Amino acid sequence: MQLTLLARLLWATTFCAQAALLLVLLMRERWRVFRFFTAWIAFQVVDNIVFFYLVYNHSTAGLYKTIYWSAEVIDLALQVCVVLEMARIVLKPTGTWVRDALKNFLLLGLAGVLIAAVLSYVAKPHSANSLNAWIERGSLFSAMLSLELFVAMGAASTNLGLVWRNHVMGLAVGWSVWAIVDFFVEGAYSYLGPNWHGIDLDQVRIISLQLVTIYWAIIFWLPEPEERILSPEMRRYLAALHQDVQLNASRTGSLNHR
Amino acid sequence: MWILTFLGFGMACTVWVLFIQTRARKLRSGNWDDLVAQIQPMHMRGLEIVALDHLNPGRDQLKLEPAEIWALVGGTEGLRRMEVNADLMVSLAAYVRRWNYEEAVIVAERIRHDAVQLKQALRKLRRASLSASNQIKAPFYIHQAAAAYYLMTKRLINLYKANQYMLYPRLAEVL
Repeated sequence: MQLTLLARLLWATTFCAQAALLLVLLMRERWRVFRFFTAWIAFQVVDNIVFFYLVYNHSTAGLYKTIYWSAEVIDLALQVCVVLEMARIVLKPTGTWVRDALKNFLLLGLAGVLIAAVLSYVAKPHSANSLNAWIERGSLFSAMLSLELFVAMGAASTNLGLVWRNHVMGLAVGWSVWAIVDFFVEGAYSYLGPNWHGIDLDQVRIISLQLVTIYWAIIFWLPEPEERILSPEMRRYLAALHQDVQLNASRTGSLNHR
Repeated sequence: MWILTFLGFGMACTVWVLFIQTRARKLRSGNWDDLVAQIQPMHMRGLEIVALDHLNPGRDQLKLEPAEIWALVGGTEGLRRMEVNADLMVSLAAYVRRWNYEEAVIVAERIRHDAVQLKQALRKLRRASLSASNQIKAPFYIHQAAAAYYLMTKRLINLYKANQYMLYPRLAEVL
């Protein structure tokens, strides 16, 4: 595979930014809280190394394709886990789910998955080959899912007036920028085809990912105010309070519908 | 058609993301004076009459007519103000964490629960106002909303009374 100088430069700089972020997450022990996010960044670093090796050792097209799409599936699974991790941090601020938060998140999330699935299914892929067409649909679905799950998490949280701490706020800001760019780039690919400025669009996505990665490295390097923890007794009380209110609300709901 | 749906959906998500970020930043910038300054005045006496009619029913439980209930809570404007103030009250309760962490966490959660009840009642009220057959339910939803708001104000004022007597008078005055 022949790569242009710009493509090599972008690849190398992305790798450096992601490796730097991984070092920050490990050295500042942010991985203790953001485990899936750290796993996702570590996966990106390893992914880059594997593809450097495959490209410069002239691997067969079949092997390259298999590894590429396997990596895409793992990448999507990790992205979903990162959004769920953000949801856990934001919607369980005191260790128990805030009432209605989980329900709101799951309802909005499922609606988002459904819309993403329908839009991906009815899209008209440009590949003639059936497998490649499904792969195109998969990429589109992945881009939409990432953004929609983030919106579901954010909407559930802000609707309940929950305050985001520094690191999760930084992660959310970067994630939303990158997810929006990815969404529109995948949409353009899908509608206009890879021959319409496909490389330029890809470069826009790579540069946005690099900027976001640098932003994350700075945010996660900076300390955040120490989190105060509720005593075990108060945690139990709060959990009971959540359950009690949840029960009352469901009873009220069922009475209202009679 | 597909591209229009896709773009519309993408734009809606983008606008929603911007709204989420703005709201999250507002919740984080917890300047007490700013929060209190944003509270919109309510006719508390009227609201209290409606709320207590729901929470503490007397012998004559039908004494308040629907039109009277509507006027006592301040009509559409009163309901809008309740919704705005509900979010501010959650932030003001969370603010007390710096003086009494445990009590503030618990009370803030209770106020948040009340705020959810309030918003649910207002949502149902808006839905009911759209169909003539459901408009009969409107007074029930106004009662629920007024009761939730009343409980929120009581919880918040008592939290400040117990933990922050310096800020308490100003808060009691604006609420």
